[in-house]
Amino acid sequence: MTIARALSALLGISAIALFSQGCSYLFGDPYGDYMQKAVKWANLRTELQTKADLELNNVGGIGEAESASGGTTYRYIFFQGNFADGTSRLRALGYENLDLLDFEAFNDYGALAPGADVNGDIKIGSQSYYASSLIPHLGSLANGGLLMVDIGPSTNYLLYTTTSDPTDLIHMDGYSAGWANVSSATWQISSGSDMWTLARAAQLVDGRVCLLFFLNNGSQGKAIAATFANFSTLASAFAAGNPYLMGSADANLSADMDVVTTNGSYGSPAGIDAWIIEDGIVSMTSTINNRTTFNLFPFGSGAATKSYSMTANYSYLYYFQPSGEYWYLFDYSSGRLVCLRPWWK
Amino acid sequence: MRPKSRGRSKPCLAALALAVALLLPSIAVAEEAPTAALDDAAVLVFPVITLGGDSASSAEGGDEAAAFGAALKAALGRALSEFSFTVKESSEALVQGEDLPVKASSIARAAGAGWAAVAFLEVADKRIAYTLRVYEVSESALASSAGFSVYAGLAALPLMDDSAKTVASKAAAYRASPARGVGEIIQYRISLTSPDEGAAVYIGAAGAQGSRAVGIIEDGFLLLPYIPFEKNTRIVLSLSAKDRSSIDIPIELGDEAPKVAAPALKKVDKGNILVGTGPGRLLGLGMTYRYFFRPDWSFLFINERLFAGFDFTAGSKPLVHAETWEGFGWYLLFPPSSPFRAGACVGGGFLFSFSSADSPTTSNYAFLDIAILPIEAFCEYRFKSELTLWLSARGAYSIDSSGLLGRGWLGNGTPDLSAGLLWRR
Repeated sequence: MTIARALSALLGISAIALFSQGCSYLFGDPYGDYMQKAVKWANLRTELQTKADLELNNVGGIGEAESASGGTTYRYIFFQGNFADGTSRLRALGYENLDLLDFEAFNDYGALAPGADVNGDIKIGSQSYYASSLIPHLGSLANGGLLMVDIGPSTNYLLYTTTSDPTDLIHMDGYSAGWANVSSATWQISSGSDMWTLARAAQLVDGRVCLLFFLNNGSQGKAIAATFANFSTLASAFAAGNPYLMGSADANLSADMDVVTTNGSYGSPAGIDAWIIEDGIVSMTSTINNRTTFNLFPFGSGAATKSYSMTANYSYLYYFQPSGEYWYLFDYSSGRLVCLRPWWK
Repeated sequence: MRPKSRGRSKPCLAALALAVALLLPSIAVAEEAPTAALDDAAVLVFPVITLGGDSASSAEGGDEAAAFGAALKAALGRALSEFSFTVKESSEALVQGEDLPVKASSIARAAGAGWAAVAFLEVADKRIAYTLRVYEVSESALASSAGFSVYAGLAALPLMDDSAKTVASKAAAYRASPARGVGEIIQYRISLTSPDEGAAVYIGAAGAQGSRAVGIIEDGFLLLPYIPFEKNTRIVLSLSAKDRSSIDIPIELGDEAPKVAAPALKKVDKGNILVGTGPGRLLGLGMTYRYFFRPDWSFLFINERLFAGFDFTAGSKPLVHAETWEGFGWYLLFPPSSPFRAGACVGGGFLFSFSSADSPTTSNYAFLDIAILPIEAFCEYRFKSELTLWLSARGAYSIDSSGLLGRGWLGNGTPDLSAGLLWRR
C-alpha cells in the first residue's frame, strides 16, 4: 500500500502539472488549429491522383496570379508539386473554389512568382499564357529566378535573382509590350560580408513595391523590408547606378525601411520565414514543441503586433497573399491545401 | 517347530539378561507430583508395552518379551540422554489405544516432563517387532517415531540401539525446530457477524493458496470451529459472496475471544461511467462506459467525446469533433480494495469532425478519420467515498488519410491526456 500511496501522489502531481500548462496547450486542437480558420480547402493529393493519375509527394511553393483580359479578371493559385515519378510540375487551381485545373508546366523555379504582363497574359518563367485559358501564348521570354513581374503602363519589369549569381545580386529588366528588352540593371544588396538575400518582392494594392531581404548570420536573423512608393521609384533607384542597396549606400533609398529581427536564421532549415502582406511583414518563428507563432510587423512600426500561435509541424508549407486577404497552408501529412482567414484583421 | 525354538531360546535369554544388566543406565524414578511448568528437556520414559504374540500364549514367550522389552527401554533411555534429554522413568504401565498419546502426555505433564517416550514390543515366531515413539506433552503430538522387525536374538540389540538413536535424534530435531509451537494456545472459538447472509468464510486471504473454508454466515453469524492457534498471533479471515467483492479481515488473537464484525461486502463493479476532459478538448466532454466481463478487473469500453477546437482568435470558427472509441481494458496493478489502481486499454476509434470550410471535392462538411489505439494507460485514485479521480494517457494512431488527420500519431506526438471522475465501488 506504500507503493499505492506513492503512485497516488504522483497522480496528483501529474494532474496539477497537466493543468498548469499554458493555455495554448490546453486549448490547442489535437487535429490541428488551422482548420478553425479554413475558408476552403482541397486535397491536392487525392485530386491529382483522381484527375491526373499523379502521385504527389510534396508541394515546394505556392503562388498566385491575377490578370485582366477582355474586361474580365482572372485569378489563379499555382503550386509547384514534386511527384513520385521524379518530376516537378507547376499546377493551377481556380481561385474561387480551389478546383484543380488542367494546366501543367514543367517548371523548377525555387521562387514561384507568376505575374501578369502588359499583354494581359500570365507569365510564368519563360512562357506566357492566355489569362482566360492558361493556354501558352508567347515563349522563350526572359528567364531567371523570378521574383516579380510588374505591369507598368507600357513596360514589364522583371525582378529576379539567378542561381549563378552571388546571393546578394538582384536584377531588374524592363520589357515593352512585345517583350522587347528596353532596360537592364544589376544591383548588389550590400557591400558588407553579411550574406543578404532578396527573399520576396510584392506590389501592394496602392502601388507600393516592397522588397523583403533576409540576413542569415546563423544566430540573430534579420529580415528587412524596403518599401518604395511605386515601381518607377525602384526602377529609378536601379537606374541611378548606386552600387549597393543597403549598408553604406542605404541613404540612396527613398523608401521606408522596416526591420524585423528574430532569434534564429531566416530562410534556414529551421523554418523561420517571412512574407509581405498589405498590412506589413508576417514573420514566422521556428516550430517548437509542435507550435508555431506568427507575428505581424506593420509597416513603419518595427514592433510585432497581432501574434498568432497554432499547433503545427515541419511538414506545413505557408503562403501569404500580398493583398492580405487570405493565407494558405499545405499540410503534407493529409495532402490538403487550405485557404485560411487572417487573424490580423 | 515350536519346542525346538523354545530350547534354543534359553541361552539367548541368559545372554540377553547379562547384556541388559551391563547396559542398563541409571534411570531416575519420576516423581509424579504435578508441576506448574514443563521441563522442555525432560522426557518421561514409560514401561514397554508388550503386545500379543508369544508373550501372551506362554510363560517362556513372556520372559523373552520382558528381556527384549528391558533392552529396548534401556536403549531408548540411553539414546535420549545422548541427545540432551533428561530421562525420567515412569512406573505407570500404559495400554495401547487411541487415547494413549493423551494419557502419556497427561502423566508426563504431571511429572513436569515436556516429553513422553513410549515403546511397543511384540515377540512372535522367533521375531520381534518394536516401535519407539516420543510425544510432545503440551500438544499430545507425536514428535518422533521409529520401528523395526528383526530375528529374536542378540543381533536385535544393536538394531534397537540404532532405532533408539533415530527416534531420539528426530525428537531432538523437533525440539529445536523453529516451526514447533512454543507459544500458548488459544482456548476459545472465534465468532463473526456479517450482514452478508450466505457469505463464505475462510481462514487465509481470499484466493490465497492454503486458505481454508470454515463456514458460512447464517442468521448474520458464524462461530468458527476451534482451531488451536497460538496466542498473540495474527490471522486473516476472508469473506466472499457472489457478485460482491471479497474482503480480508486481519485479527489479533489475544486473551479474549475476538468478536469480529465484518463490514458489508461491496457489490462488484459490473459497469461504471467515467466523465472527463483533457488538453485540447476543454471545450467539451468525454464519457466512457465500462462493462466488466471480469468484475473489478477486465472490461469492454465505449468512449464518446464531443468537443470543439477553438482558439478564440480573429478569423477562427469552432471546429467540432465527435469521437467514438471502443476497446478492451484491464486493471493491472493493485486489488479492487486499493484506493489506487492502474491499468491499460487497447482499441480503436471513428473520429468525426465538422468544419464550416468549403471544398470542391466534397458536398458535405464532415470528415471521418479512423484510428487505432495501441495503448492507453490509466490510473485512478478513489477517495473515501466512491468518488474516484482518474487520469489517462493515450497514444492513438490515425490509419486513414481521407479525413482531417493524416496518417500518423494523433496530436503531433503530444500525448492525449484526460482527467476526470468516476464512481468506483
